[in-house]
Amino acid sequence: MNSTRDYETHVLVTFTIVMLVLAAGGVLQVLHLVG
Amino acid sequence: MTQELTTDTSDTTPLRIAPEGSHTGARHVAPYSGNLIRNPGHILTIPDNPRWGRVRSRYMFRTSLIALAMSLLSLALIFLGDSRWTDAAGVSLIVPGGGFLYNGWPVLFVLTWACFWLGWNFWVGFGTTVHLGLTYLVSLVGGIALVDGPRLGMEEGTTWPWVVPTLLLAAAAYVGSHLLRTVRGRARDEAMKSERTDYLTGLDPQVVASVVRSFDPPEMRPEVQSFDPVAITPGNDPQPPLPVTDGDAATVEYLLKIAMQPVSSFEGWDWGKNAVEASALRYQVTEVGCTLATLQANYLPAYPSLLEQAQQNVVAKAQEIPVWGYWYFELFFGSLKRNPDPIVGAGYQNIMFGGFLTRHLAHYEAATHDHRYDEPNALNFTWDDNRTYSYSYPEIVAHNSAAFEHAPLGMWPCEPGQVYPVCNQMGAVGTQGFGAMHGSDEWSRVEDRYLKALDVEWMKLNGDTYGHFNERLGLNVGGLTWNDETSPAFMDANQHLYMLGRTTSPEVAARMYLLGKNAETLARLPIVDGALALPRPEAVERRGLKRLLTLFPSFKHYLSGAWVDMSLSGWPTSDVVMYAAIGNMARLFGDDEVADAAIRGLDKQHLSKQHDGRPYPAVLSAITMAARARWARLYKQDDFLTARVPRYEGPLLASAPYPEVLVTYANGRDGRLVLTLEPTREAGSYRLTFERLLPDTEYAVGRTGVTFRTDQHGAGEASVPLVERQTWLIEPASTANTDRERSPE
Repeated sequence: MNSTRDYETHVLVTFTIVMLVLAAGGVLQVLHLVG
Repeated sequence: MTQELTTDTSDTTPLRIAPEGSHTGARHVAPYSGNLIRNPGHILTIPDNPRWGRVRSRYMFRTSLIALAMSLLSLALIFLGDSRWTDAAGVSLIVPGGGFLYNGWPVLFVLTWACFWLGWNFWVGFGTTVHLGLTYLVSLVGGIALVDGPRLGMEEGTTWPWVVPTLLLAAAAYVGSHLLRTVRGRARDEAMKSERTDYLTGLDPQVVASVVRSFDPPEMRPEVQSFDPVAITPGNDPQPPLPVTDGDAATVEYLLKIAMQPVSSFEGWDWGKNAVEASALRYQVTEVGCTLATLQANYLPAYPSLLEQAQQNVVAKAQEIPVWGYWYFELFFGSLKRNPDPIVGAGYQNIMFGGFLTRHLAHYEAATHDHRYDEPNALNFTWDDNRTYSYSYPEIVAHNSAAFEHAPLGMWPCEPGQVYPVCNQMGAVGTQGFGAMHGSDEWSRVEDRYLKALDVEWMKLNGDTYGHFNERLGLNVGGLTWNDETSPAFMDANQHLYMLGRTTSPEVAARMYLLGKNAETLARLPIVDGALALPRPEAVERRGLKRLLTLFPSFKHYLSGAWVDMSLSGWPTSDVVMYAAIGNMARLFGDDEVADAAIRGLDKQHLSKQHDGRPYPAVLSAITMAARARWARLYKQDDFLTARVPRYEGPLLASAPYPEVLVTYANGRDGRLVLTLEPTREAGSYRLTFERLLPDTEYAVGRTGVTFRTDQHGAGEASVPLVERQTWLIEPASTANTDRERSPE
């Protein structure tokens, strides 16, 4: 059970990184356009 | 990959199905004696499982890494490329059609998403990857190629730089919303599990006991114990299944008609320009075959000559290209392979044909005890270029068994890459049925692996069962989603488990039935004078926006494609299927009173012979479901799949003119035979032949005054007058009591 819970955590963490990467890219692009 | 379920020692999740120490193939080695439930305690225990099984978790993790890699590549192109072409490529990678929008082509962006939605639904429904892949590639390449291209109403080479951050933030929001739902979903499912555990433990023990008793073998069921096939003594109420009703007769006549027609014809089936995918022939053929087997075992065991011929015709239909030829196209569009072979053509895929067919054949063998399909090359699938793929029933079962043994998720795909428990239930019971009939281990050797996968990979935290996974991504892709909540299509497989999995996973089936509060629902149904009276559905013709909203009740339904316009079937909206489903479920779970009431209600509300002979204005799948509810009085689905239908040894009606005479009951014992017959066209004298009666004996045919003498082998014949439906006891004249004749009510 623990190992599968670890996988769930891995998946959530990875997708969180995906979200943050995309959001950071979007914000930087906004700054780039405004600047 | 193929051994993940069995070699993963780090997965400490306990098996919850069988008693401790009994996870061996010995659990379900035929013959199946006694109640199918081995551990009643497991009915009331939702397994303590991980949210995602270990195999699915790995696939999900792999998918998340792919998403991360694509995101990083996209940003690298946008930030390091420093050109409009790389901006278009980067944004197209993350959002299909994003490059078109960046290039000032909103029309192409919308078109891309329309195609993407269509491709997505083809992927979920048929496993086709070509449409989805092509849409994505065209949008990617087109987005790059159009950077310096023409514009609609704008200067050539115009770009909209604001599109890049907008789509990146939208993509981030999309991922974030799913993350939020996934986190909330865990808490919600755990709370639901707690509620359900309380519900299960608080159930009336009598209700649970009643459900458990429904898994008894035939010889332990009161209706079978008290059944006498020739007990039609006047003055007493006839025991079911007598008297045969108009609904019985109309249904028998219709099913025989579509079975006995030329093999290549599908007239009267749901097929042709109005057919919808839900009623594809592969499903109908199986259902008609299983229903005819149910009819033979329960009503017509003494008339095998016609019933077996009808069933063999349906098996022959299963070998016609319109039934199995779809696979060639699904395989090509799903895997870019060209192989028409519907059994092993794509390795361990296409369970929706091989699985359904084995369930069909299991019913045939159980009802007839005929083993012609066990012979080599008994089943032939000839493609339109005359290539023939030949198999026997044992070979197909062996393939199914190997597929269950190797499938990483414990179940294997129906469509390329798409795994659905409903089809796997069919394949599992077909494999089990063969093993039960032959005393072989095709099912028992994979059973534990299957049950463990069912528990660990397919069961949700709240006790529900997933309805679908993509075996490449580990996603439930009923909608544009990767979490457990937002896909209305294939939300769960609970119903399939309790209706089809009663023999393979009886404890789980019973639990799903109880969790669905079905026992409570059956107890509250409106039954008036012994007939179920459901509220009539609103029959309002909707047009325009209202019709659109009917097809797409919500945006999620629109995205997921969880809609089928059943009006395409050509039959009006009705509650025939509700009567049929209630009756079928009640019959399986031992509530014969409700099952009988459902059939009475169905006949009262809807019995009306249609232009093509069907007894109700409804799709064929509803008619076969109603027929099984109506006829599975003595031997039901469980018995066909566990070899618990006894071989009929009594006297036979060897022949009767078909289709001029409709025989709806033929059963007997000890040299006595009861028949219910009626003319289908006109009154007249019809010749009947008999076998296995007492030798050298004078026989009387009911009260007709007709007598005949059998030969030394017990065979005889008689011409009998037939005006309307009659039930006759055919017995030695010396003991005949003319008062035994009984006319139908």
